[in-house]
Amino acid sequence: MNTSPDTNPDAMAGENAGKSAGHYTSGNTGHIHPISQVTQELYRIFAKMGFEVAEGPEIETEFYNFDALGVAKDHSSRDMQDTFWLKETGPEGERLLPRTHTSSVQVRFAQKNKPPFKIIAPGKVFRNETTDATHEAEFYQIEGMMVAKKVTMVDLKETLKTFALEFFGPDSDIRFRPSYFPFVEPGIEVDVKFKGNWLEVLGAGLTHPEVLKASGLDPEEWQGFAFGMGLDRLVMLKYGIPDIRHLYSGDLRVINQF
Amino acid sequence: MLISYNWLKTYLKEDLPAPADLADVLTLGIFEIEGLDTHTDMHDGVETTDAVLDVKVLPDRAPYCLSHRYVAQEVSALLGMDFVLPSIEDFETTDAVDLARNLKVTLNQEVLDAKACKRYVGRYLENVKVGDSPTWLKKQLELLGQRSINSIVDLTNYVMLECGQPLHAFDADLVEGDIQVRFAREGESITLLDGKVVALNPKIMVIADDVGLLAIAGIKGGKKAEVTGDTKNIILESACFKSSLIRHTSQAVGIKNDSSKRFENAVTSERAGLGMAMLTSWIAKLHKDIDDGDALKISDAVDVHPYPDTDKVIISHISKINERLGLDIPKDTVTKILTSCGLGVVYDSEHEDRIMVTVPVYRSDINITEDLVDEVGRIYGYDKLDENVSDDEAGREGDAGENGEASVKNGEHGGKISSLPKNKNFYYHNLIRSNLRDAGFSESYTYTLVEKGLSPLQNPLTVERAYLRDSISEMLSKKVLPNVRNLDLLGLKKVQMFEIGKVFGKSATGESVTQDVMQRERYSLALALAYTKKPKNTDLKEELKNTLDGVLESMGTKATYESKFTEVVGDAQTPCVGMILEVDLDPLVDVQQDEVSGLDVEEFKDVTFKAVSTYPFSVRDIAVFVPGENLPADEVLGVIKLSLSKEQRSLLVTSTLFDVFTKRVEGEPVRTSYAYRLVFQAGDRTLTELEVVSAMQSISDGIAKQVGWEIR
Repeated sequence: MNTSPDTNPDAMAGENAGKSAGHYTSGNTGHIHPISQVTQELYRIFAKMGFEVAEGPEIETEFYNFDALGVAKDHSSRDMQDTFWLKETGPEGERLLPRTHTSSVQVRFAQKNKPPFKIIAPGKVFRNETTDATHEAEFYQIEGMMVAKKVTMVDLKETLKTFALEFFGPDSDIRFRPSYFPFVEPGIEVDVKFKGNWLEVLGAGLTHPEVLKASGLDPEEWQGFAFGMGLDRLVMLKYGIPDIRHLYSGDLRVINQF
Repeated sequence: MLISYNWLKTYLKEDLPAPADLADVLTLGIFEIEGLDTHTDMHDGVETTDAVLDVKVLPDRAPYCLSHRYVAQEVSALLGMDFVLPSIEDFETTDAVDLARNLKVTLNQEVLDAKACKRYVGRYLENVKVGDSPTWLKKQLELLGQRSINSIVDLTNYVMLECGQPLHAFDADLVEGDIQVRFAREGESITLLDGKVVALNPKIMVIADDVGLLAIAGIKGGKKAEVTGDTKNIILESACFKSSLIRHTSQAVGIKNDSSKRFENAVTSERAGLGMAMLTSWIAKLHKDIDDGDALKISDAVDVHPYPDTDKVIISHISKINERLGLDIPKDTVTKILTSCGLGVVYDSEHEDRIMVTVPVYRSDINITEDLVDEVGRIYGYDKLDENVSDDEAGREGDAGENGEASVKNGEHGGKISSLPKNKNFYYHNLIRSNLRDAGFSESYTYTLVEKGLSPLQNPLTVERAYLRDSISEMLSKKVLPNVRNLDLLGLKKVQMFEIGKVFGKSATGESVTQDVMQRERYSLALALAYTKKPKNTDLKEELKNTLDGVLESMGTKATYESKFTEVVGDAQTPCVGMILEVDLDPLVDVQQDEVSGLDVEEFKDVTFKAVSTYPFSVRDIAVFVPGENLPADEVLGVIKLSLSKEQRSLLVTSTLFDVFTKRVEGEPVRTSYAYRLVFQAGDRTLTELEVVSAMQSISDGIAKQVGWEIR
């Protein structure tokens, strides 16, 4: 503290000056976006189980986003995801698109890396959907994939249960429900029990033999599981954020709370 | 698909659980129930109740489950009930005698070549009475969201809901010549039943007679041979059209309906025969109720079936099914489950473990062992996986064996999965995040889809989001000013933001624009800094570069970079001096060492989001002299807050200590001044001046009560 008889306030501001408390801030330094925070927390959870981060491009070929995953061109499964397409085509004339899911990382990674492996792939995805409180045309997903000699539904459930207990807390639980994604068989939805309610949080299943084949792997030798979930949804559930658009607003009244 | 609970009951010999319980059984056992409504109806003093389940049928099960018949079968499988599917023989009604017309159906060569029509079953009926449908039929259709038209049309819809086969009826006297299935000719158009005229093209398949068009195949009937109250004789159609062709046509003509939906989802061809038998049988039954049905004459069905499907056989193993699930379900149980799904199971006499599974045509979703795993797993119950799920925390931390031989459990298989190297981007990007956070910067995530750029979308949602972004700066610059406006509310003197994300523009290092979009995709880092007015001796560009240099130094290897600056300016309401620095991030990460160790992610604290008020805020400054020099600043703020009523306190959203100084004057006691900026805001209204003034008055009163305290 300054000891001069009288002082210029600006120069004399004590070490507490600038300290702020309030509704929209949780401290004085900067803030890391909640999507980044949750991504890192998921990494911590899955890394303990042996997963490492893999990446894929945001602009994908039709092959990696759809065909290699068994989402055939003229099949109604294409309707499950509203797709943006780029005007530009790839060097071989292939159709290009902002990826509709992080599942596009599966075959890309498996073609280049020798199993066994366990990966998670967080990243941005795009859907041609009108924006509202729970829908965005751009959002984040995290994909998970394990390939080894023997992979079972029990392994999948163990992995996802560990995730749920760590992320949603010791009172949470999970359940599997039958569902359909062309790149897994069986395909399931995973509900998480959070604060007493069952919430639809993940899609998952055992890697379809055709996906292993597209990855250059022999399905007689290798097996896998895959799962995917919306990061934004996890963020919204964890922090009680009611509107997905808050996450992309660049509004420090939102970000500086975290 | 809407499913009537009472209709399901007619298929099953045993009682069904209550509708809500049945919905749970289906949700956990086969498909999600998206809605459940109960309907009560009074008719002739008798009250009847039915429940309608909105079943979300996904593409794998859509070929058979867009029908009450097969949903009933699934219910019986899940509940372990005895069930026999009514077969086509249960419906056959043929008594062909002395008919005036000899129906002929031709599939033309292009249609055959394109396998566009797998089957066409036609039938001619004479002396048909077309009138109002009986009440039960009308009500059943209305309950399931269909409009009653007349008895014949209603029955085609009813049978479609029953067995999943789209059906159509033509007025036979308005059909000139034979029925032909062909592609439309260039320039042809058709007037549909609803009066809409649709221009056709040679990619669209039609049903035609010798003269004109009767229907767009699989989509909708035409006006020409519409069945009305005057109709005496009819031709029924029950066909199987190629799914991709109907999909394209539906998109091309902009018509989506119950028929197109079922064909798009590849309703199987055996159903065309079944649908015709069921429909004919219902028409005969209805006529018997009217006038003993004596006059009605029914021809043999004309069945053109160039591409018949046959049952499939899958060779599988009980052990393999169990192995994929991770369970040990007895052979008998597996067999019982598969049989309940309508599959035939035959044991191999030479291999105890091997089974031959016969898959009927309608289960086009079942092709490989994994599909059997799905059926067994869901019907046995995925909750039973828990019996083999390790509860031992430590057990889950392990990995697959060295030879890749399974699985998550460590103890059982030993060894670790060949560990992948840490992802450099992920590691270093997070390090940059932490360092920038410590330097006072907050992270934004803004849109990739923006108003202009090098790479346009073919089908944008809006013109504002029609291109991939070339840079982060363009969108980030729009986010700066609103935050400058809120600086007091945020308790900040300047806006500091950053973003890491993919961009698709020409790179800052001058890479060629001729690269394709996938080559141009790269990570970018943008840092924004903005003040309401430029502080003395501050160069924003320098300040940003110094921040970035500090971050790069802490990463290890410092690479040089090309800076791209974007200025941010204020507007009439909000003065602002701002700058954004953007750099290509990949080269800065590439030079870093590959070996990174540890988990290297932070643990973040738990936060509960507080709603952002959309109402204006009011700012007041207050400075308080307090005796001495050792009082913690928080205590001053504490007094300020306690001076406010509870209601007023909830309006004080931000308080920032912006100045502290100690005054020493000879002969006077030492005093310290604490200056606070207080921001008031309500979540549900605009505060009145009076509310703010009275809050400040409360503070003045509170401070006056403290001995030796004084407002400056």
